[in-house]
Amino acid sequence: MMPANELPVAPGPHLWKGLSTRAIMLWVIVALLPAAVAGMIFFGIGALLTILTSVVFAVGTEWVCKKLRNRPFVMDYSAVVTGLLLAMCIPATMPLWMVAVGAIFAVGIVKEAFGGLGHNIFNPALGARAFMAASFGVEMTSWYFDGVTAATPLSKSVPWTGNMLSLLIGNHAGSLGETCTAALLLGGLFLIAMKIIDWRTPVAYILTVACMALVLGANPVLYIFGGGLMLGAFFMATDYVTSPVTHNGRLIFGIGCGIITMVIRKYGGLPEGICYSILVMNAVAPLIDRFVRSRPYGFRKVVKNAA
Amino acid sequence: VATAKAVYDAVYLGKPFIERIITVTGDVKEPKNLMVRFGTPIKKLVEYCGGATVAGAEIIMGGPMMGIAQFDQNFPVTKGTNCILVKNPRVFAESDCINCGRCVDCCTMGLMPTLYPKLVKKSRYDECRAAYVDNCVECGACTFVCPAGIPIVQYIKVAKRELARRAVKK
Repeated sequence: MMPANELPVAPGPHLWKGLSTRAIMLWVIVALLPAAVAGMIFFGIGALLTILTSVVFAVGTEWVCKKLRNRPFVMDYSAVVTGLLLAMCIPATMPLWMVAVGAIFAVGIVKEAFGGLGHNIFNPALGARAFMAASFGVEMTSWYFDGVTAATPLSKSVPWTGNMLSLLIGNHAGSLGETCTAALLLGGLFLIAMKIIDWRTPVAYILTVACMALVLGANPVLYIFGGGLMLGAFFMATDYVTSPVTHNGRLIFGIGCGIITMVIRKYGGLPEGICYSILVMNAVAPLIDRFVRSRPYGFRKVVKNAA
Repeated sequence: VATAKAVYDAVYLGKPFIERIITVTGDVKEPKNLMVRFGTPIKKLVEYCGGATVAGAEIIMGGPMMGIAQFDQNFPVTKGTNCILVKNPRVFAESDCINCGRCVDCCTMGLMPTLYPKLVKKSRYDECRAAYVDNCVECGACTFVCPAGIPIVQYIKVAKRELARRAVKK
């Protein structure tokens, strides 16, 4: 017997917060813009071209991959974030075809080959950065500022002599979007205030770097503001897909990133260790989640058996 | 409170539990709190409040989070009914989980709701049990916040039902 007056039926809950994946990605882009604009001011038109190339090729690659896999292409802006982050962690003077290759690698290999958004193990922008550092070693470490070759503040051969204020403003050599610490800090705090990202990862990361620098007898201010730490801690280590979902897991993730970063910076051959430290921690993020979740649940199990 | 009132009625007035106050709200012309006899069809309540103001609205018995949409307008009010909500159905446009952890943050039972849809899609129900899916109270908070629009509660219900079915078989 069918009821005469059927009603539409949808599963509960019948409300939605309304903050979609797309909206989150748009907010991340908004938060990245101040630092990107600062990069354009300091590094000129080359920075703008690098960003545009990277974003266009990242989105284009996503579209092609979705078509090849016969999946619907949904413009959720995650590829824009990837392209923007990639452009911001490489020098503004990179030849544009290298930027394009990097963007294609980021989305095509690091992200889509694993199944697209939500399934990738490594942060696409950082994976591509590592790939570019291995492939185009010279271009990736050629820093220019004001038209002349310059050393980054963390360079091992040339000690940093500039003042601390320029570290904050960002008018020194470095990657496109990592130099203007003030703008990155602004964007990062904005995301935390919006509850888009969890404060635990960046705070744990930065504090660990500061403590390690103090213990190892280095200048913590230089190590916090001189390299890509702000960009990495606020925008890359907090990447949802490749970081743990639990609170304690995120703390461990941040601390691990900080330790590896400082070990690379102090004892490794590279001046900068953000990229590889986050990539290494990306790989263990699922393990961290598995490890931390066993403890609170053990407690509940006892309660359940008693009841 | 409603239960205390019912106890008072029964003990002091000798009145059996035949009616209760029900909130009728949502997309109706005049939302009201009504004293309603059990057995009244929900259609009558919605009509009494001026009818639905949107076309194709669902009638939900219960609140917006845990309420269940009714398929029959003649369904009666029962002693467990506290609210009738008239509302446009929410359309679930499910996309991939991005691991943001919002469901983990808001879970009232301290579970990891992010796991269940992934496991249910692969029919790995035993792992759902190992992740304490039975402790879920189906409050719907995870599904409310999910940016990917995944109906997590529905996946959890599937897992629970399947596990219960297996338990009966044994």
